Amino acid sequence: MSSTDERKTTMETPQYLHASSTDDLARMITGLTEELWVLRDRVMLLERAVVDAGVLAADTVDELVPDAELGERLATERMRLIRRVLGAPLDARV
Amino acid sequence: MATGLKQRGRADFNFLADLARWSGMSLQGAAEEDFDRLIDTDTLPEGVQSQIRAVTKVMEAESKVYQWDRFYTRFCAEQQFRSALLAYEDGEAEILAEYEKYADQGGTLHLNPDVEAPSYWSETEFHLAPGGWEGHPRMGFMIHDYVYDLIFSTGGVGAVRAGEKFTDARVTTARGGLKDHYDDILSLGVGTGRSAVSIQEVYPDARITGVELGRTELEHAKVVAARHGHEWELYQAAAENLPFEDDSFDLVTAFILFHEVPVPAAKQILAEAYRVCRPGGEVLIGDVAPYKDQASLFRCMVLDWETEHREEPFWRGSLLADRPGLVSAAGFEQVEEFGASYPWVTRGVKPSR
Repeated sequence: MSSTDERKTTMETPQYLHASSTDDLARMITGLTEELWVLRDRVMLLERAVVDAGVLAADTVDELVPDAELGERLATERMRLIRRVLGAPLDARV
Repeated sequence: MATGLKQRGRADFNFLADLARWSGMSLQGAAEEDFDRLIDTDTLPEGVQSQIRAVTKVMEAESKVYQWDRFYTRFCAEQQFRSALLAYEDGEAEILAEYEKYADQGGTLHLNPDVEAPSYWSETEFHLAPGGWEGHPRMGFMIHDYVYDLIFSTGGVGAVRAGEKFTDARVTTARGGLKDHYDDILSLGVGTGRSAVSIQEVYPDARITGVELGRTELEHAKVVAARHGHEWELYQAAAENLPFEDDSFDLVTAFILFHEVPVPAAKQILAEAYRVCRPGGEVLIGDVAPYKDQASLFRCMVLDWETEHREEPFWRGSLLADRPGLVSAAGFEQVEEFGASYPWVTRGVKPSR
């Protein structure tokens, strides 16, 4: 981080990252949103397909409570995602 | 599973809770190493407030991992109510059905639509809650069942370290009373009844009365009481202006209330606590430990950040205030304080006549 960067810490507009990275971050978030929508669209189509095929009832996924084994697997994968994506700046520390 | 919760809300809250816990553990741990490397304690100015300001400036400029920890902490704080609103929309029918189910249980609500709320309460969006504590007709439900139960539960938020539990702090505070039994306990700032549940657990035979400004919080506190099979008297009133006769309670408690009010209001609240407390009764305050009693300057710096960044405008003033001095000034005697970073307990006794 450049020592000349202005840093705001007021309650209205706190700023934690480089101002110079804003365009790059916006591109990343927009691209990620685009990919997220593609995935959500596919999941909705899949749900519709399995409901139409009589494999699941319409609200099965919404109401499904993970059992302990599945809950543990989800927690492990969730933490992997957090560490890998959001922990990238920490991995890059020198 | 929490009332009305669907897959989307469950997965969303799981993510935010894990992000807060991971940031609180891994990133803050690494930031503390940076702190030890970057800060020369011999060159710091006098006074904890000046020291916090000085080290914050260095860490914000020099510690990349501290910057990310603060960013993620702020992100979780911003997202938690947005996520709760979405989850509420998904489960509203079931949530309202539970309110209906418990309509005749959980005690008595004494709502006062004309209550005079102090401006520090009505004009503050505490914890970044959109619209403040009354920003949604069921904000009390969202705060209690979703934000606290599903995101705060694993710690890493505010004064609760990653891996710690809010509930433990409430029980610890409740156990700080001098006696094994109380007849009438008043819970100031009872909120959604979380601390009242702990008080009732420690003193199962006590009659509990709660005071709170927020209608939606009181309505949810009644549901919480009903879920636990309790019956509470719940009043919509300001803690500075209690609707009770003198000498009404033998224990007056306030859990994490005082860091949410300015010091002049804290003095008024303690004066009212003294008035409604019976001679020989006690006041019991559980809150975040003052800066002078925190374990390290790093911890003070992390805590102090709350003041400007998580809509906690009275946090710094409260953690710099002389809490035992305020309790003594209200008239209480045998004032003692004890505990850890959180909760820190302050207790006083109203002299017998």
